[in-house]
Amino acid sequence: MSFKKIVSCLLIILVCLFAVSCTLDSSNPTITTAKEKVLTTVMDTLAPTVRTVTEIKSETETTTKIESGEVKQSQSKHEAKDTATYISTTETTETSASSEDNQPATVNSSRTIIDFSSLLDKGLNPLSIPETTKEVHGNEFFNDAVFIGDSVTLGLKNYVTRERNAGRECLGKAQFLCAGSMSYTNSRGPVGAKNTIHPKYKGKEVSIEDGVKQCGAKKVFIMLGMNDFAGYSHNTVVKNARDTFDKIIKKNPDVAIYVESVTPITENKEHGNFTNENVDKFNEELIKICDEYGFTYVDIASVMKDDNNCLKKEYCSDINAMGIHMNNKSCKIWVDYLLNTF
Amino acid sequence: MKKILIIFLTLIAVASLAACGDNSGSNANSDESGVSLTTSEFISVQPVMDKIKAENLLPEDYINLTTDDLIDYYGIESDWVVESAVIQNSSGYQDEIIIIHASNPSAVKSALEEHLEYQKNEMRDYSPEQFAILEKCKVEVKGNYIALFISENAARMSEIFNETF
Repeated sequence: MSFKKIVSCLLIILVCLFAVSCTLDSSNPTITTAKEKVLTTVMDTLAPTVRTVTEIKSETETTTKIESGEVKQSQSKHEAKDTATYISTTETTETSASSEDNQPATVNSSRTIIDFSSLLDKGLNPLSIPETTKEVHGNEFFNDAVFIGDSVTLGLKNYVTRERNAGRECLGKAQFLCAGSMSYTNSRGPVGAKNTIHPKYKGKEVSIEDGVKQCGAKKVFIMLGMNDFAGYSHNTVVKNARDTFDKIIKKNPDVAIYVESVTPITENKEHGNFTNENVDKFNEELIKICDEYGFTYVDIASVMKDDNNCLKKEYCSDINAMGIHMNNKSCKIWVDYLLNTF
Repeated sequence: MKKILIIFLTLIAVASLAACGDNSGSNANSDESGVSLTTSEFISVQPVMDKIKAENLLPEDYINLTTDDLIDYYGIESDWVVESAVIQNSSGYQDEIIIIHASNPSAVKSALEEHLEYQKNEMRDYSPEQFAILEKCKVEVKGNYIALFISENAARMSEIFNETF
């Protein structure tokens, strides 16, 4: 059977794979993994054949004498009949070695790197995922987001989970790293240390910065502070907030950080340091930090307040307890605010 | 030789398509402990949750978690679960009613015990009332059926669970 027929058979197989791939949903992680499996299989099966083609073609090429120890790289453009053009790069290294008769001998080693994309992209690449630089908004904006927070954000997490389980899109594929009693202060210590609280990622307790890394988020929305007010001074909380942001950035230098304002307290539940005045004072510090670090300040509190600067009672799920947690109505307002802002 | 090569490549292409098949989802008859469950041994967990609900033992506002949610909330892989009925208070803390028919009971038990300790650590200084509730809780095991009731009504929920399995 001729070389032409071999290549034709391979093209038929690729077309079949392309037809199957077109029916698959690329947003499904199972299918994406399947696509990767098929790509690997295609690459493995094509490689020996293409390499064979390279070898056949390279016999007609002129080899260049090279100096000892020098790595020469030559790039050849191969054109084979009935196939697409592809690029192969050959790296050749010459090293010196002594032979039995003490005469210097040269050893040539070479490897050929073949760029499959140029071969496959000529209308025969069922697995290419085109790059896009278009801006995204709405739910899609949150696909690579993670929300970090305490029990207030935990309420948002449960609201989002309920919406998604009901088949309604809600904040894209945003993930959550929450712990009910977490604060800027008690999350600073190492995981497992006494008097520390950390979120869990897939059931395992992790630091905030490690959690961000493990979940692969590129956008970090963070709302903490409410649990700090009860036990710590304003300056201490501000310092601890800065420490938290520094740790996140150090571990995840390429993330964008969005600092959500601390939400208000119902009027009947203000007490001690737990006041809306302190909440506002802390939020003003967060604005300054955002200006300094280049973060984005997200003023969730602005859509939760009544005329007295307190959390609206109709938005609160625990008006007879702590007076700070959101109900379904306020969670929807929260989500709508985010979707309209980004 | 070339014919053999063509046939071989075709078989690889077919095999790769087969490998793209859906491997997700639990198999009701799988059991990693080596015990196979027959249809006649299968007792659904949902009626237990329905009975708890009928006796008004659930919180006022709650969400139902699916089996796929359990990895995020409790570190429980969906492969370990035959069937689950899980409810959590919408506020995110306080009530958690977890009933699982496990294909890997030891892993599920371990994950829930870890979760219970995590919650105790959280609530110890944050909410003494909630900590007091948590101190009375324990992971319950009846063969492949595992449950954790974090609630003021945990005692009655436990009775219903033990009556069923």
